[in-house]
Amino acid sequence: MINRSLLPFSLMLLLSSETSCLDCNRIHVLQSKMNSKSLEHLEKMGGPFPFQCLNERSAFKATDILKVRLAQQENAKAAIQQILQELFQIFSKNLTHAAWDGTSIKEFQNGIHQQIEKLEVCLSAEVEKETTYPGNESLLHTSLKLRRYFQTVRHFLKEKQYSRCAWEIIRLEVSRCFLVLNILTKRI
Amino acid sequence: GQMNLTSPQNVQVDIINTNFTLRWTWNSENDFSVTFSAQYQRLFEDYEEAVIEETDWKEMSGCQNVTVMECDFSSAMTDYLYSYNVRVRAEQGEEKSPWSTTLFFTPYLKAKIGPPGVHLKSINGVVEINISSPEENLSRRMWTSDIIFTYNAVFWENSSNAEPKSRTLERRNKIYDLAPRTTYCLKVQAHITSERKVGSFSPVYCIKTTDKARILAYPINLEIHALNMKFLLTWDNLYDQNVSFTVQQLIGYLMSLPEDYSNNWTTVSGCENITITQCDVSSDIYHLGTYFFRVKAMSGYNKSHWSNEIKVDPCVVNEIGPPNLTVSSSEDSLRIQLIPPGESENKSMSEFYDLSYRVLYWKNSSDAEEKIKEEQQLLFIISDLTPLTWYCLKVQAFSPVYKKNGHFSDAICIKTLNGKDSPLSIFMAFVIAMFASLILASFCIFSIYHISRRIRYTFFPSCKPPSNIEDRFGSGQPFSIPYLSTSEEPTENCCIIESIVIEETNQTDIKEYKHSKQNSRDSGNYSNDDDTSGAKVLEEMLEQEAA
Repeated sequence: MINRSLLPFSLMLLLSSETSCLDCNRIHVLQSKMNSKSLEHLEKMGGPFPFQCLNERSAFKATDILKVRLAQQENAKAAIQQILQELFQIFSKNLTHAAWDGTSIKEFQNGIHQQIEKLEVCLSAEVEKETTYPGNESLLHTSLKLRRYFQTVRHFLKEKQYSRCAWEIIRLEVSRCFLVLNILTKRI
Repeated sequence: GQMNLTSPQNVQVDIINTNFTLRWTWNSENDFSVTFSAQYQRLFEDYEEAVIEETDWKEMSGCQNVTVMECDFSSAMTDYLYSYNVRVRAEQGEEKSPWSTTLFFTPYLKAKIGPPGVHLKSINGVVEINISSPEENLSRRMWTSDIIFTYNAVFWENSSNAEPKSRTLERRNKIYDLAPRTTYCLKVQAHITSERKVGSFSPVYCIKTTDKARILAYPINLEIHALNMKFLLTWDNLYDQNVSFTVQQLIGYLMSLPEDYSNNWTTVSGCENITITQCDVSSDIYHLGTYFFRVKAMSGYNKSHWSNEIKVDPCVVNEIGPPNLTVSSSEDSLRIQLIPPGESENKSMSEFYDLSYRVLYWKNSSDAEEKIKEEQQLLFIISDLTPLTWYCLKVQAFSPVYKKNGHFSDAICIKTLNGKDSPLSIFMAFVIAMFASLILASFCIFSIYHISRRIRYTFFPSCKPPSNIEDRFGSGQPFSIPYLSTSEEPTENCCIIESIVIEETNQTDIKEYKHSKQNSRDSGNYSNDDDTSGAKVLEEMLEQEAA
């Protein structure tokens, strides 16, 4: 049943032209480049953590992203893509109070978006090769844990009405996500 | 009379986006006085997926006293990332059946993707396809990210028997190369690749293309050419009259967002009202991220529509120029020093790519074959060459991850040096060797002298300790020599395994044992008293040999 529903999906892949200009076995090269560039942008967009927000820092009680048991090797690419999608979504809305440098936000978002597209090319190629679904269970469970973590981030921002300090706390938290991304990048 | 109600069977949950449906079967004759009611409880899991908390059973709104065998309980669900238990029972008046078996589910894991929205527009021979995500504009969302989906379209020409084609679509698409006054149909599905989830297809939508616009034609064949991250946009000149062009750019990710981005197009500086059909757009491109460009033609008060939008992924479209190189030779090798492409223009390609270098070199004679060497370093040596021979070489940079080969440098030819030793160099070598041996010899003599003095001082001290000190140590104890330790070194109590083996293998064939004894001695298999593992290994060996 699953195979039949995937048939048009694989047809699409045959027509996908971008597959040819990327070596998916070396995608970690681009990923680690993007990780470090994104961290730079994150730093640049708001500068150092503001003093007046120090008191509020303890208000964010997320499940620690570093404690989320990370994906196994075969699912690292998928986990990276999911984290990037969530980050992109968070930084795409309600930024007016954040008072951050607009150019840095755009470049941060554009870099993440591009990498999501590249990972998509590689993941689609992998799905095409699969006949069964090895690790599909663990894949979905990792995904679930990541989404739970990002749900707490979104709830926090909403609860704090996207205030400047809430955004600063999340900016700090997101830099921790890049630690996780670096670990996952080594597993690709 | 007594009537025992049976429990509902085959309880199942279907989830499409955030629409939850509970279904079940009931094995009894149709009786319209029987109704069904469901309950649920929430579960909370920790990192390890172990349930750490569960709420009490609550009545499920939307699924109370229903007369059919399904109900919509979407409003009862509040959190899609944690799990629930549900159960159903049949009810008739005061009588209630036992609860059905409990069904456990996690909404996010079970949810299926609904069909996306499709909006078609046909303007001047161009078809616009706008796709909205399966949950666009809904406040309750299962899929929280706008860019989580990729869209796959199957499309065909309505009146022909041609095979339907399949391709991925962006959220916004303009299809240009379609025949006029023809009806095209398509259906679209969304999928989440990272979770291997494939959504259901939208209904089929059809649209008839119109004639091409009779106004000024829009520019066609937009192409981007780039060398060392300098980007030049070109297009075809279709025009007889005097026409000027304007180029606009859009940052790539905006195209994937649901919001209207039409106000975010910006005119590229230096590309406004230009009269040539090309423009340098480098200033508006940052190497990470993608960009879209479009061009418009103007003649007096006549304006064309915008051209099709060309997507630019900088590192993909860019061509890598040749590296700079300096070569020096010795008698059997060439030393090559490279400067990465673009460095002279302050845009080193090594910043953008994972560069390696490929050297092609050959003897400068008619029948010479080319050899290839690949290097990651900027400084390297090609060795094992013939002395006094002309060699030529050229180098290209390449990026493995982008599968991209750069341009070759111009060929450089250089002659290797003379391999035979000249009289002068022999003389020089002789002088150096003489000098070196002289230093070595004097060093040896000095150290022998020094060591012998130490030995003499230690073993045959010239001065005896004062007599009062000698008395203190007593006459029985000779004065200890400072450099020799008198205390016994701690030694481990060891024995040879053999002895244990003898005990344990006495009963077995003595001939076999002798054979293995040889083995054990060869391998130096010694062991502490209390460790019998070595013996066990030997025992196994014996058994194997016996077998």
